[in-house]
Amino acid sequence: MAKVLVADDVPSILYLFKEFFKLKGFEVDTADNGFEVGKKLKKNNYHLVVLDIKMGGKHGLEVLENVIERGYKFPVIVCTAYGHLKEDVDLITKGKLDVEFLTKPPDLELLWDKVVKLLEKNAIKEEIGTDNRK
Amino acid sequence: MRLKKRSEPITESKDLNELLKRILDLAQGVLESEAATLFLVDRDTDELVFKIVNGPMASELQGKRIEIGEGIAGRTAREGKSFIINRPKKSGYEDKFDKQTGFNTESLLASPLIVDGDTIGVIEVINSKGGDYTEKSKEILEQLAAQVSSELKMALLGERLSKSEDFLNSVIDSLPGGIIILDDEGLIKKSNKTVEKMLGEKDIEGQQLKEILPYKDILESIRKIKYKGSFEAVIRRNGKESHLNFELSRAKEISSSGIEAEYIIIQIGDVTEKIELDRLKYLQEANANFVAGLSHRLRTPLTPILGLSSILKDQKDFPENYKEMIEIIYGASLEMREMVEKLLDIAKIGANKAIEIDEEVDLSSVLSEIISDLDHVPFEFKKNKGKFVVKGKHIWLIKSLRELIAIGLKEKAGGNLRIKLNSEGEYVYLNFKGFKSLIDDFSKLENAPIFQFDDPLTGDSDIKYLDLPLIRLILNQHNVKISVREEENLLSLRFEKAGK
Repeated sequence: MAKVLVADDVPSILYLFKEFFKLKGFEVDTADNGFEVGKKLKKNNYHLVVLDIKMGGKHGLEVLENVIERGYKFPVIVCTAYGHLKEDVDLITKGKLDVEFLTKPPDLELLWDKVVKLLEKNAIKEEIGTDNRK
Repeated sequence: MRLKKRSEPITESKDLNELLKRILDLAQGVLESEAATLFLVDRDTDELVFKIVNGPMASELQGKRIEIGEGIAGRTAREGKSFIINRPKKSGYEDKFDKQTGFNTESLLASPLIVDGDTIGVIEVINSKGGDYTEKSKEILEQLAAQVSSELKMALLGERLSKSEDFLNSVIDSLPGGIIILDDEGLIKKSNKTVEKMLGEKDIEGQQLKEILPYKDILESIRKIKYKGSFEAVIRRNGKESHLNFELSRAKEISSSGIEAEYIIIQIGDVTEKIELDRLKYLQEANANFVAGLSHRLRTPLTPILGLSSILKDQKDFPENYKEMIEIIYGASLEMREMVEKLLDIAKIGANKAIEIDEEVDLSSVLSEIISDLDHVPFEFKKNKGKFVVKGKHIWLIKSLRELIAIGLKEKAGGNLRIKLNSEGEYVYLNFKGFKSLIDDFSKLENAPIFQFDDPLTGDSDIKYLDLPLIRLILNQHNVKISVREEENLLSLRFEKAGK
């Protein structure tokens, strides 16, 4: 079963993503702040991470920098209310991480299209289910 | 036949010298300078002569000569253009006369006196007491230089100089902003037309300033300024408030009999419009920030409403009435999402950021909306059958057309705007015939809330934007009629003064 980590500091949004990915057959883990994301990434392997940018603890852009520094290779969907942050996300991740960007509130069909696209791309590089930590 | 006796050279005329001296004094006073010199070219020797010298070194320099091309004054004469030199020693410049006299030139501004294309002299002010000389100082000196030149030309043409007083008045009238010169009793010795217009008074010379400006705070501020200074004040006349900026300097004049008299030179600028524009700009930015913040905040609660209703509406095991309720929640949240997107567009426009183009819009309907916002503008709309569809964002088009109309309204003489579309509904060109000078005028307005966008369709950066309150402001000042003519692929807007 594919495993996803969803990070957002708003409980109702975490609930939405949790239900959505469960219905799609994913095993879902959640984090409500940036530090929690770091802790979960250390302990677990994920096929996908859905990340908010402006959240408590550690800022999402900082989380992305840490992910790159540590050599994680899982794809990321950034989902934020601030559309203009796409440029910052691109600047940090370009060529280093597979990232898709979505503005809140996301269209769930579009979200699913991006999930499929990223997982297919990732599966070409390495088989789903193997350890994707470096 | 008797040869006509050659008269004294016209530049030696006593009247002319007095007049030139008064203009030089005016330049020195208005530009708050420690010294000032008027040079005239001696064609026989190709030299510049220190004709009239004001300042601490006057007696040493009077009558001295420099070669054309020598020093800043010499360069001004040779090149026929103005020079501003601030802190000359830093750039390695050494003044020959500074060395001789011990004078220290800190800043210098020189403008050529040109008659019929020939440089006949140079007017120079030295050591600005109010910091560096600026482009504005240069503009003032060049205007005075033009007046001296024209007077010299008249003199050279042999015209009599009996109207020197009128001439000095015409020089003061030509200066930008209002000018009042007071004596030490507070009597208005000189004024210009601009100041009379500003204060709504006529023939103020010879009157006491306190009669013309009966405002205690203004008179008190003037009294307190011992040497130079500035202040702002609000005056009310005919129920209208004007914000005036006063710049004041005191000057001493020693007459031939040795009597010392003090004069106060007051420059007055009307900053009412600028203050209004600054206020509108501030409101516009604050509004944009508020709207952007609102849009972002609404996105967070909207995410679970839209997302969860989207999941629920696909569930089959709900009773029909529940399904209907969920559909309603889902539909309403989609509407809300659209509104949130529009809010952000409005904020982007307010903050003058480019937005994406993704709609097809009927330009006629956009125009009708704009004109209805400007309901007191008389206009005619000649419409061709069929739709005039443009690719662009509805809100962006409203904004840009409003701005173009604003530009048209600002123009005193009116102008034409033509928008031509190709078959794809893209702008082929925006033609601003008759608008060029006015667009430049707008750009010159200090702190005017004018913003330049890249035209998202063409990538050009030549469209200036204003907001609706400003258009209304402009409408209050101009009585303009708009006529619109729409043909198959061409939309023409014509702006003209009503009754013209």
